[in-house]
Amino acid sequence: MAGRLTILPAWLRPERTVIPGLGLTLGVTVTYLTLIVLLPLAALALRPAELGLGGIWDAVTQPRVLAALRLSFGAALLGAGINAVFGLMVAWMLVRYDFPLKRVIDAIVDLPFALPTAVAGIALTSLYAPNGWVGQLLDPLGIKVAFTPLGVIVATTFIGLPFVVRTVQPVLEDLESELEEAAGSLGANRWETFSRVIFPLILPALLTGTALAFARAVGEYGSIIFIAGNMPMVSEIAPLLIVIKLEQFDYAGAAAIGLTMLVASFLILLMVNLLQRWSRRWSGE
Amino acid sequence: MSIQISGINKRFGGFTAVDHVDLSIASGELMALLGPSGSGKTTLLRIIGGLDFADSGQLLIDGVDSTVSEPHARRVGFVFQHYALFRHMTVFENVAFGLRVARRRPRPAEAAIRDKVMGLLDLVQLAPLAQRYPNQLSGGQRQRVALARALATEPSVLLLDEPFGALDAKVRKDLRRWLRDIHKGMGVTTVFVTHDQEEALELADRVTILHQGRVEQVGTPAEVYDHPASAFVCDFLGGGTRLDCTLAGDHADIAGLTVPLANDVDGRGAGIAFVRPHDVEILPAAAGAAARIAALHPVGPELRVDLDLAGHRLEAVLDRQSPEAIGLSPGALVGVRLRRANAYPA
Repeated sequence: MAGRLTILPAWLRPERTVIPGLGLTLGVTVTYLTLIVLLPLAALALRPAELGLGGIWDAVTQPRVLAALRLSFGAALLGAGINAVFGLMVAWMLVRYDFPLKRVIDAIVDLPFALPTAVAGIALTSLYAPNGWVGQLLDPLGIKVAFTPLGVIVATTFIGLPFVVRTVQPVLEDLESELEEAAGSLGANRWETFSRVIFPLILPALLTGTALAFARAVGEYGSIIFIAGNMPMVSEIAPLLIVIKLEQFDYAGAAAIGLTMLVASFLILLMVNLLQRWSRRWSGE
Repeated sequence: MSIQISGINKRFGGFTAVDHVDLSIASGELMALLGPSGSGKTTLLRIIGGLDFADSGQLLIDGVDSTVSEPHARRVGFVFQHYALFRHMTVFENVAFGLRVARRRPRPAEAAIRDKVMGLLDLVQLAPLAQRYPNQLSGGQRQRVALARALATEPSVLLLDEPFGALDAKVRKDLRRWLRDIHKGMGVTTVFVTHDQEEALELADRVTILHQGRVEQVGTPAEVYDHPASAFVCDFLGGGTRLDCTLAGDHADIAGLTVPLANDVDGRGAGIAFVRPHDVEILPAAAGAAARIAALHPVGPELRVDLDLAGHRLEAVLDRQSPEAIGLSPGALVGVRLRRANAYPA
């Protein structure tokens, strides 16, 4: 065992622990990540290369592509933002209060995870179409949801909810009630206790959940295309545009949009990650 | 500020945590609430602090009925066993918290907060660590931060729930002395909960002993130690060996020995006696009652001796350097005399 580890340079050699298998786990992890994540991403980066830098730029800056990217990222960000607020409230309610059917509501939160996205999309569409249950109430007010960008936001909000609830819930559950009692005995009212003590402690989890909801929404396809109506320049999302390009055998153009989405998502998630780091600067890790 | 508790009751479901407790705590006093777990001491403290509310009874703080008032209306500082520091705030911000959320208008200016907080951190000897976060501190340092935080709002009553319970023995001892000094310096009425009788006896002006939600005895450390009011109190305060006895006025018959009683007992007949290790005298084999040495345990400066006295186990303690201690060996026969005992009707 010790003999095998000496093939590693000194700085990589682990301290002796009772848990075996650095070599094994490292090997499996690297192989797995390469096959599952890195290779497809490399292909995604290589394919548009045949267009040349100028070609990629032209493919991505077409007005129709820009409009689609704007809608995809805009709706994903808005949906994630809405979920940050209401997901926090749902998690709060589920952790703090006892009420009838609490377990049922707790289970309902996971439905957007489990539902086939096409089913979700068709259900949302039939609800929000001008003759649907909700749509017919909004129609007289001049609000159109289905087949507009608003519909895209409804869909991204729907699929993102469980991410926020399920990341915030355990952190809220673990908060010691003594912290609130301490704040109260020091003179803080309920709002001050929430804003100064509870919220900063759940902020890292809230950011994680929001980032996950965002990431899921950017790539979402199935549930959006039914409710969006897919009008070019108005309610057409980037993943759909990629599919359209593929159907036209424009593989490099499709990959160029994909690469752009990849880079943009990566940058946004990196920013969220840094923000999250900052929000837990007190953890001393 | 004085605290008056009269007829306070508190139940949790079917469990009676506090059962008709009457207690008065004088202004500036350092009072210990002592008892085993489940005795209701923490619940009583939380009721005084407004973290729990009594089902019935009345609580007066400085003459004002505070039975149902919110914690922040009571001017009470609370220190928790596990510190309950805000881990996302620096030490400085933890201590400043009570000043920043103060109800008074206008709130203290930033410079005033700074002076006040740094003054308190000096008091608890943590000024150099003001910008650290709680998880960069040791347990003893965290508890000092918690104390400074509770003192920042200038409470009229300071309440501490097992303040040293989670700390190791040495730190505990230092913090005890240091709490005593702070109490002396500030004169704030202080109530602390502990299950450690040594801590209560060492630190408090008076000790309240609780058992199953009821007050068993209230008195100075010397009073409760020398004159335990009940078998429970005697046992809990390190009563020593518990033996069956026969009560006979000012003395009791224990395992064939006649032993003077330290307390006044009504009645005669069967009883329970407690003999403290310090009251067991070890004599040469021919004198006193015959006993066999079962085991010897040297503990620091002391020698603890387990004795077998006619089938009863008895504990004695000697100075390890004393002449009596030097010749002892397990299995040897010695003489035993009991100087005094506390006894209660069975």
